[in-house]
Amino acid sequence: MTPSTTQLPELDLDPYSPEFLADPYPYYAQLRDAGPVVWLTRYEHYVVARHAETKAVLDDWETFGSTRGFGLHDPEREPPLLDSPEYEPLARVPHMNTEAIRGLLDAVRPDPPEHDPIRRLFMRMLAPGLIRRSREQIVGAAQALVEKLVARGSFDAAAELADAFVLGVIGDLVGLPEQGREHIIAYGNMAMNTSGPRNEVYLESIEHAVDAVAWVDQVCTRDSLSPGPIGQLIFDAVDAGEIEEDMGNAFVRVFPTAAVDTTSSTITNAIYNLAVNPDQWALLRDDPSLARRAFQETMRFTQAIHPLYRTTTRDGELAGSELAAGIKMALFLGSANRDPRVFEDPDRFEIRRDATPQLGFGSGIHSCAGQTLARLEGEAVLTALSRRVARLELDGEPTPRRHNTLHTWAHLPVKVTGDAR
Amino acid sequence: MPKVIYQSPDGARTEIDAPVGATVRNLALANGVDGIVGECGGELMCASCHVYVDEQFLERLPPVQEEEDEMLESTACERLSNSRLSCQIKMTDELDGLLVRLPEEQL
Repeated sequence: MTPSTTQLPELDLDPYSPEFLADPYPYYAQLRDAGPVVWLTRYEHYVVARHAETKAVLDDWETFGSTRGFGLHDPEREPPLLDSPEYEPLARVPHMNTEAIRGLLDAVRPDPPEHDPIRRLFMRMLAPGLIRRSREQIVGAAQALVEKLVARGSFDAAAELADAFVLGVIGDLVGLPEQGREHIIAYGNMAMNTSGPRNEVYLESIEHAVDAVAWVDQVCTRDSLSPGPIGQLIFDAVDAGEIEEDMGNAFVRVFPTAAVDTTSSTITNAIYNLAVNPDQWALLRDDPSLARRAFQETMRFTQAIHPLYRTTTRDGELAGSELAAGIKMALFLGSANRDPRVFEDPDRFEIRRDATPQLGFGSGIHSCAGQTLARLEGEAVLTALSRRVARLELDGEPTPRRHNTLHTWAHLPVKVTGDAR
Repeated sequence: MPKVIYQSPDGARTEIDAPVGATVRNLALANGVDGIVGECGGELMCASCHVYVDEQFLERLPPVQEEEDEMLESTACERLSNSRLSCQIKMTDELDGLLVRLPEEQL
């Protein structure tokens, strides 16, 4: 069904083409320039790529709902993902806990009122006060890992630093067993790749996640967790009757799904940005307290999440354009974050700027509940690097991560010169 | 136009003209007042725009809602009876002269 789109500018872009994924920024500019709301002919949905309208959509959950998913897939028009033939490889997983996976979707998708108790529990699990109590441990873990890698002189900042660090932090906070944590990478990879169309990377991500799904099923339960503050809070909420046991298991899965890839991709992007902008690296070296700003600026400049979707719940209007109900809308946070209407010189990476209006954590009721933790993880790694490394350079070409949703590097070889200060 | 006064922990005061409807957090950031971080963007997600509101203005503020109440449990400096998150304080004519004291730490 095509709504009346006569007044909307139309573009025939494919946000999932290899060219777009490799360098989205010229396409983002094209989308922003076309108008505040654009009709994407290929996928037949709306696109919003400017900052003001992106924020307006995120803040208006009543018109732009999330119950039909954050991805391209529309459960009201297509069969449920898990029932699709593409998911056949997962049938090899013995006793796959599909209920927990459906519960996970129920945990992240609803709008109010169903969303309210879920959001409250997330906020309690990820409250800044709770995260602050783990600060020493997180900062210490970053220092130890950086120390070890810097001693080698060169390392892969994506796999060996960002991924390894975030896996450790999340694993410990949730209480996941140490053995097998690397499965979380393949698990998260599937969860976020399948937000896109059923292309090659989508199918591969499912194929590669078979063992990971089995591992996650096994460990994301009360009995398998060791004491970790977040896991504890989840099952306290179950015991207090706030949520069902199955929902508790689903809550645990939110962490491998949403808390690892996103943060580690952003840390990887930050290190890349600093390695290729020596003037900005020098600023951070001189003043390590800029680490949080550098992380926020990385969220703005190289937003790790590519498209995010809402669905119109009713006929409406946005920036003078009429919208029809029941249509997906793609939001490009990385485009909003480079909108020259809001950010001066948006295509420059400047860690001293105030990038606070960046929308990388979303906005409104579905904004990222884990942002305090993510910022602390970013701050910990960047501070440790800036205190320990004098020169930071690329050590050969980095390998882009082929991914429908994440915009980052799979491998980021860097060469460092240590500094004993 | 109403005014808002920010007092830093060392006692220094900064007075800012406040358009009605602007939040105390946004006014501080827009005018370069140090001591309010507010890095979540005013979304009640970070508790880093904590202020202590001068007692005489407390009753003129709308009451603390549930989400603000939960976030106030997470402030870096101790929560006191006059603690508020400045992203939740919108300026009105009745709040002219509002005095907020800034905590030592926000993160």
